[in-house]
Amino acid sequence: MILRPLFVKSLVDHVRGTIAWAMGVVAIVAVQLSVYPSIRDSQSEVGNIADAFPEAFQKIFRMQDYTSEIGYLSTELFTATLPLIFLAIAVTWGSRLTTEEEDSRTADIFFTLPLTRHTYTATRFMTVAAVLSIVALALLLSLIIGTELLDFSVPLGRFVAGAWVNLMVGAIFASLAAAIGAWTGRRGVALGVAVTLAIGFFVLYSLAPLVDSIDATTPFNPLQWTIGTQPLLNGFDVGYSVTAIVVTATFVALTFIGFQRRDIKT
Amino acid sequence: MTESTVRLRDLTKFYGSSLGVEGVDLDVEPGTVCGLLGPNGSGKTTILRMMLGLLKITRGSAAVFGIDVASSPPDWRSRVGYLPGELSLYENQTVEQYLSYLSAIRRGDFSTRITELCSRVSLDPTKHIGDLSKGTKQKVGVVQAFMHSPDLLILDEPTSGLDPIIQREFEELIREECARGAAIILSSHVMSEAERLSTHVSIVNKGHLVLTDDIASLKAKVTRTVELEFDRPVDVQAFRAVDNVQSAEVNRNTVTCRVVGSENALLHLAAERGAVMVRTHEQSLDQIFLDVVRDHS
Repeated sequence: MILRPLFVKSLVDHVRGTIAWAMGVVAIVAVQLSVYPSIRDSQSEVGNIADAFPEAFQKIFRMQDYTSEIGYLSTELFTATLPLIFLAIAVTWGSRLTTEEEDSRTADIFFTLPLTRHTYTATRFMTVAAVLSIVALALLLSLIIGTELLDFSVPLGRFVAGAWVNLMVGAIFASLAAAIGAWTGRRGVALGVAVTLAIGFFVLYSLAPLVDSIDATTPFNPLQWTIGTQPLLNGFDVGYSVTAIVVTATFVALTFIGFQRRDIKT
Repeated sequence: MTESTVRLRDLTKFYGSSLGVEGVDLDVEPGTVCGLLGPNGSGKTTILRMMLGLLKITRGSAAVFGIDVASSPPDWRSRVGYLPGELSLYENQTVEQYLSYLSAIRRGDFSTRITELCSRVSLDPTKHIGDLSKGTKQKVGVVQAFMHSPDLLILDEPTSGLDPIIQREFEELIREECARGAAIILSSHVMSEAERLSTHVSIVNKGHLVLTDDIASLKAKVTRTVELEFDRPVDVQAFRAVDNVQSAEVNRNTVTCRVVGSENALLHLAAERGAVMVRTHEQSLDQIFLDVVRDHS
């Protein structure tokens, strides 16, 4: 089912991008961790400042116990920064999952080789999974090593849950972008629609604590199933994880069906 | 009886409501070269791309090696070589890496044949594809299409960008593959090339296959000009009455006849009347093509 030469080529072609994303995540984690000791040293003053933030601001950024290690990391890394990075990786990779050969106009030779479109799609999904996992692993390792060096006392399981939800953010939106690309055959459309949806979901997720009518949409928002579980504070949420996996699997299935049914463009 | 390598029946493609091709019936036998001719946008590439499974078939069927291409696993493609009309390659690879990559997906070791082909078309496999000229990229396309000794070669405008020396080598390669028993479909705008290489010709116009025939019988069916030279004046009426002669004109001692079909009766009469010189001018494929397309426009 997996075509090794294609898997290797897909990874090698984008190895620099993958390394750059992973290094970026490590750098952001390092910067945020390095700031925390000064917050810890002046906990009451910073706590007063945080409490003085407008309530709406606190709600949008899910600020809870900001001066604690977990509260700080949850607000600074897991509410917006890391999910946005995983979203960016996801839509970039997902939108080109089935369309890359057509975009580079190499599809005519490639898709007349003895391989099925299902094999191609499965292999490309494996590549995206590998890229997202590499970045998630970089996140996890940088959190573990950084907090160890700076003497944090956050349980390892919370970091694993944090890396997991970001991985799921990536999985949902990568498979969504892939499905759009598979049905339309247009990378630009897949990228545009997936980015628009991602931003829309993010705005809804952010405003949900402030507006009741928007809050009603929360159970249907993929960001609620992932970062909305606040993994550093609450650990794993099995129910929402299963929801995220089922939705991802649905988009993956739609990608297989869509790509099988359409013409390959020149 | 040998099974056709390619068998198309009522092959039809619509892009939404716009016609690609309609009702195409075509057979290509092993060891033959089918010249697929037609004006730009006539539907040649659409036929080829449906046959290869790149385009979904709206109606009808396409079978390659007796296997229905729309419903069967793609193993049959391991016996097919394809050179597309608009060739793009992976610019970040060397020629060697590119051919190795395709070989790996084809699950075969074709290194000996690749070395031979690169040498024949003067291609340096260590070069970066991104640094190659259009003609040199076309050579890479030729090598990837031939490297696995396919039983069906589909070549869309194959000599585009090739210099005359490499074109000659390419034509030699086609003859070798044909002699080996491969079926070849050659889509080309270069009529002289199609005429030299094809055993059969199919003409597509406005999405319809308007003519399919082998080159010899096609030429027999079209008008030829026969010039008969005598050493004295002759009666042109006698020549007008000969079977298959469409018209005959006389100019001094030369009679010019337009003939469709066999010219044996005409030559017989010419011999009887003491012709001193006979010249036959066959219509080129170029002229045939233009006539057919004009008739169906």
